[in-house]
Amino acid sequence: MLLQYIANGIAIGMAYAIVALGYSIVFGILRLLNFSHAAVYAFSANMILVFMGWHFGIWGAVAVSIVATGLLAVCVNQFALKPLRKKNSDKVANLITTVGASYIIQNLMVMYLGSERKTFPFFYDFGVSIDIGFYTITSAQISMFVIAGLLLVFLTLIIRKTKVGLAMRGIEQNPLAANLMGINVEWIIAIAFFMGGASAAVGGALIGGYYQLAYPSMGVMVGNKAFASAVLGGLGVLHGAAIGGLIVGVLECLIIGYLGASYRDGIAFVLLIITLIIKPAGLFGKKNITKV
Amino acid sequence: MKKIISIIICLALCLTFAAACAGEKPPADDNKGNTPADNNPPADNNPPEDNKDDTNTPPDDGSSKGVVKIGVFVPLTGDRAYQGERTKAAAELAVQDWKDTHGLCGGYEVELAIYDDKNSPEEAASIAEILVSDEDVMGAMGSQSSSTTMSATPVFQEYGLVCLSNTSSHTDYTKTGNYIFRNNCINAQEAEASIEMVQKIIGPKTVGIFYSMNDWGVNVYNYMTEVIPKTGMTIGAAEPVADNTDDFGTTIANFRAAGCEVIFVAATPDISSPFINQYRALDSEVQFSGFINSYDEQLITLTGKNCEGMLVPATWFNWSELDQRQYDFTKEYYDYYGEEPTSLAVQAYDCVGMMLDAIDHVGKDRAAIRDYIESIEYDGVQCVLTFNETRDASKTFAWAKVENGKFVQVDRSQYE
Repeated sequence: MLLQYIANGIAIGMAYAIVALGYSIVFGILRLLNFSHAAVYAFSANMILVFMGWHFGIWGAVAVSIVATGLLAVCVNQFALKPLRKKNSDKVANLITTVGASYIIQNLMVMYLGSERKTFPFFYDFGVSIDIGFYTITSAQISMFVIAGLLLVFLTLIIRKTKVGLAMRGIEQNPLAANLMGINVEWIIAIAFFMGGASAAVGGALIGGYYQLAYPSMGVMVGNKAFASAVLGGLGVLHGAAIGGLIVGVLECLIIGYLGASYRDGIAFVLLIITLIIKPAGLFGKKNITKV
Repeated sequence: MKKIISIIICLALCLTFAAACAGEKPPADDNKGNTPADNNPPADNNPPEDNKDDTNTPPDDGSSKGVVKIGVFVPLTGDRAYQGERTKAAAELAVQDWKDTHGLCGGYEVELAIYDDKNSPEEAASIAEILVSDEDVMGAMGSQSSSTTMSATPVFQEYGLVCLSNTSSHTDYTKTGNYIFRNNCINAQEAEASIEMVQKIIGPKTVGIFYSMNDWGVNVYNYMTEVIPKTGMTIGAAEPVADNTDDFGTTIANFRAAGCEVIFVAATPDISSPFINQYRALDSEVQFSGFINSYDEQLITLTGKNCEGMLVPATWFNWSELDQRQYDFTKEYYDYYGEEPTSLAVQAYDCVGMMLDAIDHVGKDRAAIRDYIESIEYDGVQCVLTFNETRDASKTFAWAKVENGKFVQVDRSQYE
């Protein structure tokens, strides 16, 4: 059974990793834990269903939702966080604001779209599975792994190989100096939020499709575990978030398999606490990270 | 310029979201019609506005002696809001039907006092305090789960107000006192019905139990672990599930490794549907059996063909060919709300009907209403309802099976 548990763990771990990327991108540039990210992720999956209702087709709906979700994340920054930055507010104020934004987004979805779960199309399953006795690896699991991996590579390339990425890294080091060098700091921050939102939308599409479900509060538990993954891997480090997600996912499945499902949700938070005690910067994090 | 661009982007996003919300709902909701609740003020912890519609009330010869209210406390926000909305809708339909057929109730105008308890025990207890202190409230119905309702029942008992639950199935629910009644089956009854149905129709050797980690699920699980071994079946695996869990890969692996032929699914459709979908993607042979909360259109909407063949014990059957009254009520409810009623909604309708019947007979007297309900023989839409010594309504179970995307009634006589 060990192989089956690990295969399941990798699939669910990739889901956490995709969402964790969004936490890391924003933290990497602002040193801010953006707790609205989980609600943004839920927004994306629900909006895909709305756009499908408008006959966009699944791929069209996913594309439009990626843009809309990216813009929503930008709006959270522009209208909730930017004014606080202008007033040099305490980081805790920023943190609480993202929590508030999360509730606003989630409750608006409940008000207008209903709280019930809705069927999400299983759009990237090719109906192929590898069976070895009771061990089964589905094409959907493989697809999720590949797409999440490609997303990670794509985002890493943007940050490492483009001018925008260079600007992000500059702002991360010293926002004032970056500004003096001619970098439009607010514009780059907005791009970081857009990237975080868009990656959340890819996650919403993949995870919604994998579980064939979408609902307003779908981001709560996934978001918490993704956050734990990001901390485990090292906040601000993209590959750290991905590896953290995989570790959390695999351990969760091993816990379910050997100890029972009652303990499944605890493992991510146990890991979070252990990480914060033993290696606060995370597995791949930098030592000089300022904690909020 | 940047400000203008950002404002334009934000407006565009808001318009998209607002238009999306105001326009078309997601595909899963396409068959929903508008409900009267849409026209009512939102319920919250403040006393609700008068929501009666005088235009629908037939003229009465006698003048009203005042107002009598039935308290309804259900979740109208949060994850369980859709279930609370169904109870609320059924209660509103019951009041509307009463007004249409009787006009006044014991000489009083009937109103509902609807409160949102958010499925929170603390909220429910606070709402109970509000309801008992309102002299016009003559009975209460709620909430969505046993644990929430049971936080309110001590208040109702202490102040002598009937609480009639359409959903609570916890064995201890009515033990609070003699003002606490239940129009729902208890855990043991539905577990027994589900086991009997599976044993007689399928007759598996090894079964699995998938259950919610809440009072109801754990009670059902405990009962089943006692009873199933006595039937000759073996429990291969039992796996709990927490709310908001979407991934069941490892849980399913455990069931499959244990060789479970049938899985008893003790969870509401919103929780059980991803489990069923994921299981069916891996195994086309396994069969599922539910409980009365599985008799819900949502199950079929969320699982599609994956729940084909699923067995469900039901205290109510929509579009029943065997019971004209059930058929007529299904039609009335469907015409009104654009969806079929669930068992719990039907029970809510009968709960309100019983309380109105009591008020009509004994007037505005809480103690007399309790006494009347205790000995009631109410001709409800579900069946003729009476209460036993533990104030639990009598229930009989039909056997239902999902066939070609809908519930069909199984002829029990074939298996007796």
